[in-house]
Formats: sequence, structure tokens, C-alpha cells
Amino acid sequence: MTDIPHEPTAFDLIAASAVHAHARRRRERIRNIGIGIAGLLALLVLWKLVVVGLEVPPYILPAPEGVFIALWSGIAVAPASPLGFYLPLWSTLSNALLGFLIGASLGLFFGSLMAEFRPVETALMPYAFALQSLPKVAIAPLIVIWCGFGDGSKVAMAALLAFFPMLVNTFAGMRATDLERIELMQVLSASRFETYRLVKLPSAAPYIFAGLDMGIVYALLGTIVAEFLGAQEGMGVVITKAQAVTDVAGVFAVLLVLGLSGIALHLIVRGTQRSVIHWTDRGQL
Amino acid sequence: MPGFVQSNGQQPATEQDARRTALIAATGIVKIYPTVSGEPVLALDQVNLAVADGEFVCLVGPSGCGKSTLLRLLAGLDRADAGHFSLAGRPIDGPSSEVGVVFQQATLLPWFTIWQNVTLPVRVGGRTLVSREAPIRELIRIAGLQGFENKFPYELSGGMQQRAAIVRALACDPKLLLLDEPFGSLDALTREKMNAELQRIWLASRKTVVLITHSIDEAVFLGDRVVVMSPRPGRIIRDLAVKLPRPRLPAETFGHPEHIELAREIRGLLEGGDAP
Repeated sequence: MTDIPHEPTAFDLIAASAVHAHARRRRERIRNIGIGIAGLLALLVLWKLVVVGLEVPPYILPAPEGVFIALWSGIAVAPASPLGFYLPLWSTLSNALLGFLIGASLGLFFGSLMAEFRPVETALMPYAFALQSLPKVAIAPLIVIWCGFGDGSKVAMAALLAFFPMLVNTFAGMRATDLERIELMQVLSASRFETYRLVKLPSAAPYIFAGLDMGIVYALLGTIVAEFLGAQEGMGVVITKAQAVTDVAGVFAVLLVLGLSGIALHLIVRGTQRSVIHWTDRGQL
Repeated sequence: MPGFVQSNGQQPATEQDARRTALIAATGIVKIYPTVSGEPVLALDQVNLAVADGEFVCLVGPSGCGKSTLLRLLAGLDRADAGHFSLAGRPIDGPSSEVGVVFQQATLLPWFTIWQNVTLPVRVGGRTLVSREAPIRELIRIAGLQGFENKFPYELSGGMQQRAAIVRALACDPKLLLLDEPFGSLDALTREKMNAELQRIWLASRKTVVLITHSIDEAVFLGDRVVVMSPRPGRIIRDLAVKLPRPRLPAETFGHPEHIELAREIRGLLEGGDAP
């Protein structure tokens, strides 16, 4: 029986097509990385050509290698060196993260209260709207007056900026809860808090993660702005110092580090979201 | 199957005759809905319904006849504007653990496993799982969901999801099971299979069931009685007993003269109801 050569069965075909699909995805990924690297190289070449061709002075726009040297001098030092990026980056990130945790928690709390209790919504919504429309970095000088030049004002700014996306998204997400699911909990005589914990909060999870994603980047922004206004340490201080001596390459290097930090934070939130909300990419919200 | 079979131990012998105790007694039910335009709509008009303990009653009627409204009132999700409802002699004034509800959609929570979903009713409202765990395992077995306890709802077919919803509705060992077009979103073949499954689950648990459907075949196949409602305002226009023997098998029942005759009669009532 095993000698008889056979036509491929449906199972063989399915297995083969799965292998093909896997190989195709792999090829696509490699190709996309290739495109990314090629684009980056093209940008660097163009940048270099503009600087050389138009004879742009380095205090306006440094050549790419100048930025690289500045970046290297900030990285290739002992972690505790006062010349390196590590101490200011740690200061900025720790303040931003602490502020983010505070702001996001408060946003989650007040967003939940507003969604759950109409009177709270009525009372708070006008202020939420007003503050949301206000460019919040404009409050930074006040924050510095109230909280001083230390870490307090940085944490407070980060918290302020992380608060609003969380408030709005938690509120919107909870209000978007499927009515049938709420009625299910009513039928089961569940308490209000059980309905919140078991149904509304998980329903709002995709919204909440979108709020966290925005909030973490805003928190970094808030910390940097507060550092511009006065601080002893932090990446904002490194930028102001470099600016004072028109070390534009140095400013670029710090921007690069901050940009990469922002991307890393965003990816952490996205990764957490993927592992927590396993059901949304299956066509169910 | 101990644990979820309704205890019938102390019922009198006269239970066999027509004077069975009514589990649900609804009298003079009126429900009016306000509308955006301001003209209120009379959804239910003087509806009287009695359902005996252990009976399977199907409510059929055209869309908008108020059958879902009636079910929502029975579930305690809405209040009637007039009339009186009682369940086992007590007035219905809100949701209760004596009533299990299955909605049109399975409404399983996608962040919970099947086990977490079906045990939800005994984990909320201050109840505890311990005493209900074995009966729920038995229900899962009856519903053919063994081995799927740790799967998530999106890993199950539509029919399995709806069976899980039925298990969930029975988890608290309710006296009454309410089903609102539970198989409306399934394809015809799956639906027929689910009807047989539901009958099997019902024969094993002997709950009182009120099922809403607009499938005449489904109503006659499943019901001890088929209650026919008129279009808005909803009134009960006929109450028909189905004498077909159980367990009913789709292949035998759908060709049975009594089934055909009843289905024809109900169709006539529903079509007649459309004309003014």
C-alpha cells in the first residue's frame, strides 16, 4: 500500500500552502527591512549632498557624520560620566514614566467615574473640554512656579499631558460598551462594580491602550518642556546647553536618542496590548 | 441527572391533569414605548399568558409584534405599564437568578474562556461557584462542549457559542429559561441541529422554557404549546397545543401530519394578521 505513488491529498496541499505562506511572509519582512535601510541610506546621502553642495555651515545644519560623532561621544562613555547621555536620559525617562503612571491612573479613574455616573460627567465635562482645548504646554511655566525646578515639575507636566488622552479614551471606551453585554450583567443581577470590572473595563481596553500609547509619548514631551524651563538634569538640559554654544550636531544627537526612546516606549505599550487584549484581532471587540 | 433537574418530589398526583400549577402568570400586560417623534407606541395590549411548570412554550409572531418586549418584561429588564406578572407566585420586579436568559447573539465575553463565561452567573451577585461546579460540568457535557472549557469564544463555531450561552443561562439552576430567537443568526442546517440539541438539553433538565422565534417550524418542533401573536399592538391571537411525541426527531417530525397541519394553521394566522 505504501508503494503506490499517490496524488497529493488535501492535507498535503494545506501543509504545503502553510509553508509557502510562512516563507512568503518571511521574504516580505526581509524585503521591507531592505527598503527601510535603503531609504535611510538615501536620506543620509541626500543630507550630505545638501550640506556639501549648498555649503551649509555646521551651526545651521551639521553633516550626518558630525551628528554621529556627537552621538558617539554621548554613548561611548562610562554610564556615570557627566558627559554621557545616560544620566540625563535616566532622569528624563524616570520622571516621564512616573508622571505617566500618575496621569494615566488618574485619567482611568476620572474617565471611569464620568462614564459611570451622569452627574460626574455633567460636572466635569465642561472643564475637561476647556482644558483639552488649551495647549497644555502653556501651563508649564505655572507648574514650574508651583512645583519648583526639581523633579516635581517634570513629573507633574508628564502627568498632566498623560492624563487627558486616558480620561477621554476611558470615557469613550466605556460608553461604547455593547448594550447586550450590559443587559447580560443586569439579567445576572451583577452589582455595578462587577459590571464595571468584568464587562465595561475589558470592553474599553482597546480604547484604554490607545490612550496609554498616546499618553506615554505625551509624558515624554511634557518632561522635556518642563526641563527647558529650568532644571538641573535631563535631556532637555542637554539640549539647552548644546543650543547655548550652537552645537547643532549635539542637539540632533539628543533628538535622535529621544526619538528612539519614544519609539521604544510606544513598542512596549503595543507589546503589552497584544499580550493583554488577545481577542480584538479575531474580529471581535 | 441530579443537581439541575427541577425537584418535583412533593408534587401531588393531580399534577398530571390540566390543573398544573402555573409558573408564570401574566395578566393584562400593557407596554407602551415612547418614541422620538413623541407619538407613543402600544407594544403590548392586554396580554394574558400562563405557563405551567416544566412546559416548553414558543411565542411566534411577525417582527415588531412585541414578543421580544414580552420576554424583556419576563426577564425583569423592563417594567410593564399595566398588568401583573408573577413567577412561582411572586411578582417579577427585576432580574432574578430564577430566570436564565439566552439572547439572539451568544453574547459571550471574548476576554473570558468558555468555562469563565458559563460560570459567570455563579461568580457575580454575591454567589459562589463551589456548589454549582459539578452541575455546570454536567451541563457542559450535555451540550457537547467538553474539551472546550479553556478555549476562547472566538475559537468556537456560532452554534457552539450559542450552546455555551444556553449552558450559561442554566448555570444558576433557574426555574425559567427565556430564549429570544437564539438561533436566528445561524444558518438553516445548523439551526435545525441546534433545535434538536436544545430539545435534548431541555429533556435532560426539564426547565420551564419560553422561546421566541419567527420560524414556524422551529416553534412547532420544540413547543408543547405555540402561542401566536398579532402585529402591533401585540396581542395573543391563538394558543395551540402541540401533541407530537418526544423526543422529536427532525426527520420524523417535519413530515408528520400534525406538524404540517399546525404549521399551516399558524402560517394562516400570521398571514391573516398582516391584512387590516
